[in-house]
Amino acid sequence: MRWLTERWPILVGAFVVFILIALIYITADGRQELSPWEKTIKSGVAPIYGALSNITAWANHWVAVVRNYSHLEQENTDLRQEVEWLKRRLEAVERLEQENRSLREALGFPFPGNEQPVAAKIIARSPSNWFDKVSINRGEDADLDTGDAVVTPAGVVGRVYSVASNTAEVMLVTDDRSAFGAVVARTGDPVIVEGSGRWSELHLKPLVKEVDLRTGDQIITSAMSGIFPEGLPVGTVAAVDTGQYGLSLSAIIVPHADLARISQVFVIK
Amino acid sequence: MIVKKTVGSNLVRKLAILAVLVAAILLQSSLFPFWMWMGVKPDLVTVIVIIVGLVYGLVPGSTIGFFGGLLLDYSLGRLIGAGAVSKMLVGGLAGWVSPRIFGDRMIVPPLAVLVGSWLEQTLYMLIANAFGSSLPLAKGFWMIVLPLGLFNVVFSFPIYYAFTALKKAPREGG
Repeated sequence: MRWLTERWPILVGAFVVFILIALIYITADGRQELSPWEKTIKSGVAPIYGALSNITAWANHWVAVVRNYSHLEQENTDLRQEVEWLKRRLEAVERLEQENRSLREALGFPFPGNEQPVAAKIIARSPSNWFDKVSINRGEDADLDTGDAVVTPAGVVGRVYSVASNTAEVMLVTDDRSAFGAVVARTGDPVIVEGSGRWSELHLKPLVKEVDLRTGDQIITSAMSGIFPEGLPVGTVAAVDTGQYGLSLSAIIVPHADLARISQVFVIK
Repeated sequence: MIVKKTVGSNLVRKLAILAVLVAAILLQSSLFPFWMWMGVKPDLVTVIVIIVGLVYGLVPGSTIGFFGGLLLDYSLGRLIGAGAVSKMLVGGLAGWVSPRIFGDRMIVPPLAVLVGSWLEQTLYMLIANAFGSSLPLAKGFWMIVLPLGLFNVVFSFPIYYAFTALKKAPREGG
């Protein structure tokens, strides 16, 4: 008994460490299914994150205004020209979209993505330097579900990983657990795109033996991605590695979507 | 009467530390991702844990490390407990070392935060990899651990003075 009373801090410490090791083991790959009380906590915290996100956006805006004041006039002129150019491009894209729709209907193919994408705002990011993730301000209230694709007009962002009533967590494409099918836009060669962790870059591995891959190649999602609709931009090949003896092939891709800066995304169901 | 006041003061102090931890996690998830330096954001929770260890000692340091790490892990959603273990050990170590090296030397809080942050992040990286993550050790050390320790030092002085003020406040009032 005396032995126990003298050593209780060590015993309690050992018990806590044992419980923690079990907890780490269970949650090593993350958890998609949240318990009701966890959903309640996350939904309760979401408005606080939303408010902080607004304050951050406001502060960042004014910091940028002060920093870039001298460039604003030139930037304004450039942007006006860009808007004009984009308007013309949009008109062209709309014409092509209509033509594409007609051709698909003529061929009897169903048009992908009939459902309107859900616009969402990023309200929180990973508190850790090791693993990336973001939280958005839409959840079960917008019928979001785990596995839904998250994109921006610039490119793919990730997929919905867990959902609460008014918020959802998104696993980014750069997450080390993320992998999806894509193709090299120039050649159509199928590849696998994997997350690299937090490094703002993606890893590419070929799916077939002979892949013609060059620095600067554009990578887009494939019909077999399993997560994203076909043809969405993924990124640009920044470096190709053929291995020591030129027998293996891998590449580093820089994502088109600026995952560290995006604030608005679209969820495709 | 004095006993009641001390108990009340202790509770207020504990609640204040908990509120600071929660605020630190909220800031790390919202504001700091936009204020990065050399690609890393500061880890306020680790700074708080080390400072609490220095100011209050081994048991408070490891306790705050445990709860701060657990809250941060839960917020991240994976490897829940890894941050709790690493922060608990570093908080406890700061508390254990404190009476042996502490004095009125200005260098102690920033130095403790620098070394403690490096140690905590290295421990976290090793625990994460032991449980199946594939964090690159050398790259992680140069690109995250080293700059993070330096970045955390910036916050060591304000947090140290805030916690020493919190420690003195009830005594002066009583």
